[in-house]
Amino acid sequence: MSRFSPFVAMFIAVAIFALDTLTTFDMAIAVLYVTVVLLALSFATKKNLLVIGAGCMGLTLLSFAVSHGEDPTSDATARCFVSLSAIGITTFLAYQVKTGIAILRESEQRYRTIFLATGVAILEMDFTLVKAAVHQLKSQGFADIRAVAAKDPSFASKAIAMMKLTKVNNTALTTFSAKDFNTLKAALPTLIGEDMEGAIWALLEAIWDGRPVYESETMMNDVNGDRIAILYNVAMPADRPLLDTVLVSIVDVTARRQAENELHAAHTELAHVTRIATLGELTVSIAHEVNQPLAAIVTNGGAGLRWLKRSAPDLGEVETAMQRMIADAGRASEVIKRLRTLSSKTTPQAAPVNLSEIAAESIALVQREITSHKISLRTELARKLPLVIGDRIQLQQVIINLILNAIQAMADPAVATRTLLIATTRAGDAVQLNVRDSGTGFAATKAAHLFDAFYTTKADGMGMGLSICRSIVTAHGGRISAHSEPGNGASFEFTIPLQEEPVS
Amino acid sequence: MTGTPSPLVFVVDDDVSLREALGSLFRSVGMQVELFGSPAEFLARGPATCESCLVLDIRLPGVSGLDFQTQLAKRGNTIPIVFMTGHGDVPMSVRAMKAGALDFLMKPFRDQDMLDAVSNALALDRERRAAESELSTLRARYDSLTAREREVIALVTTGLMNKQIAGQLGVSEITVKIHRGHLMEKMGVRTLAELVKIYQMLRPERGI
Repeated sequence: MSRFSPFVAMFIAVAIFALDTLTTFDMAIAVLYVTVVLLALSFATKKNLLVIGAGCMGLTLLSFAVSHGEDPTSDATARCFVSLSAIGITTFLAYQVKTGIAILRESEQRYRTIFLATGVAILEMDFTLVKAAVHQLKSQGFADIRAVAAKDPSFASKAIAMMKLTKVNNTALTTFSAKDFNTLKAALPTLIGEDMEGAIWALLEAIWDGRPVYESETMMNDVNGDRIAILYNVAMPADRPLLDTVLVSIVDVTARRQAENELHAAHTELAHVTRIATLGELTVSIAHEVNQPLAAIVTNGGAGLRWLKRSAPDLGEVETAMQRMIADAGRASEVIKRLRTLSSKTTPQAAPVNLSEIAAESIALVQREITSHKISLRTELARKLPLVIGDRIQLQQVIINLILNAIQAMADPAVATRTLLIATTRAGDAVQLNVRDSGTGFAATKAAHLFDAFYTTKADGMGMGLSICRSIVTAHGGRISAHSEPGNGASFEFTIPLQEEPVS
Repeated sequence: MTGTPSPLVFVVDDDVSLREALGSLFRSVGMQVELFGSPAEFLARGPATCESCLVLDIRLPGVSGLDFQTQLAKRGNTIPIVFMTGHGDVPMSVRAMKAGALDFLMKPFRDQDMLDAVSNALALDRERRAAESELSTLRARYDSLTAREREVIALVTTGLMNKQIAGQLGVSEITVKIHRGHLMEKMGVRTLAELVKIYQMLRPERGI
């Protein structure tokens, strides 16, 4: 069409000129030139549009001069004037339209460039059917999407089938490892894994509520079935209420998530390793801790048997012995339970915990170490401490570490009085644990480095203990600090804020 | 010796559970038992007058079992000690043995092993007490000798003849013979060999 339209326009112009000049109808035939101008809209530039308009007006005047040159009637003059006006106004409007189209095209072009070249994967989708289905459910009297989910749990997967892919950019193809648009379109239902069901319901809720944007993060499959972590944004413009053009932008965060996971795993691993190392330091006292009840059990067993085998069996003694055996077995299993918990290799769990309770458990694990170093222990554990969100094992690890450090700080024979204070308190909107020793202490200049990795003052230390402590406390949203007056002992304390999710 | 028929076992362990288990075990075989949570409590009780032994945990709060062993030795308390040790206490055990510990048992131990160890310890204590009591009899007999008789006994046991002794003391041979007869009777011996043996036992008592 566009290729021939200049000729068509020229032909029409010639035809109009012929009619206008050669016939003598009492009508403004020249008005028909507006068709030429309108046709020109499709092929002429803005400047040529003006030229063509002017040309048409020129032809009108020429025709007028030829037909009515010598004695123009007032009618003919009026008709000519009407034609000129019509052509002029049409040209002006066409010019305006042309300008508008140019702006529109430019913006369209810019959009296409962005769409194609951006690093964000963009899927243009048609949710018309979904919107209609939602509308229908609303008219059926469902109050909200939860009611729908309760009644028809399969609606989410039905809705997925109703979402149509209309256009994608290259990044989208790359993100999903798809060869071309059709591959991606065909694979679409398989890209949405079962774990996305929650996300789909949330999206449906956004559609239900008429929200213009829904953003979330999820895992999807690519065309090959590999898992990818994505951040996505579903834009449902308010001016397209039928949702025939929905833009889904997707950022692939798989690499970032993987790096984060690896870092987290490494951190967990390190915490575990240092925990095991700590347990290694405690081996002797722990062995004693388990051995003691075992020895008692064996001895009670032997004693019980002997009371039974006496010529006059003493059942009272036998009963006592057996009761003691049960109590001791319980004691041994408590120790082992504590140990197993501490040495277990679980990922950190966030649960409501009582810091006083954790402190008491930790003290139980190192009690032997404390007594064998001839340290007198004082505990001031707050009874009614508010719960904090945290990982029991990790917090135990921190406390045990601080206690072991305190014990070592007092191991120097020069330390005359060996006292250890372990206290928990509520400090504003946090709970606080304090470990204070009467050991050698440290210089103020060292305080800044105490919590650095690989910083150690011990000959056989790795320098990881306090560093791990700090990272655990920080992950709980808390702070750890140390104070000392050299020669006058040291004090370590950490806080865990109330009602705050750990970052771990 | 002092008329108490059953021997006495002292148990010093800070673990109340094991302490009581041991108590029950020893009582089940007819021994007397006294239980202590710390060495200080045991010391406060004072030494036993009957056949006894001590069952001691090598790791104790405050003072170690080894230090306590040394303290007892310094006080002249010779009560036989059976040590109880945990894992990883080998160097301590060696030290304890060198310091004269009678036996040591690794926890957890068989009840029979503990009873055997305690029996041995008690047997040792019995022997010591018997030896001590014999010595004290001899001491009493020696103390009943006159000054002259003590001079004679010292010279007789060095192997001198009556005539030589008489020369040294400036008395007659007959007098020496009479003193010798009296002291043999007082010391309760019949032969010179016996006298020499007894005199040897008494010598450290006399501080020579």
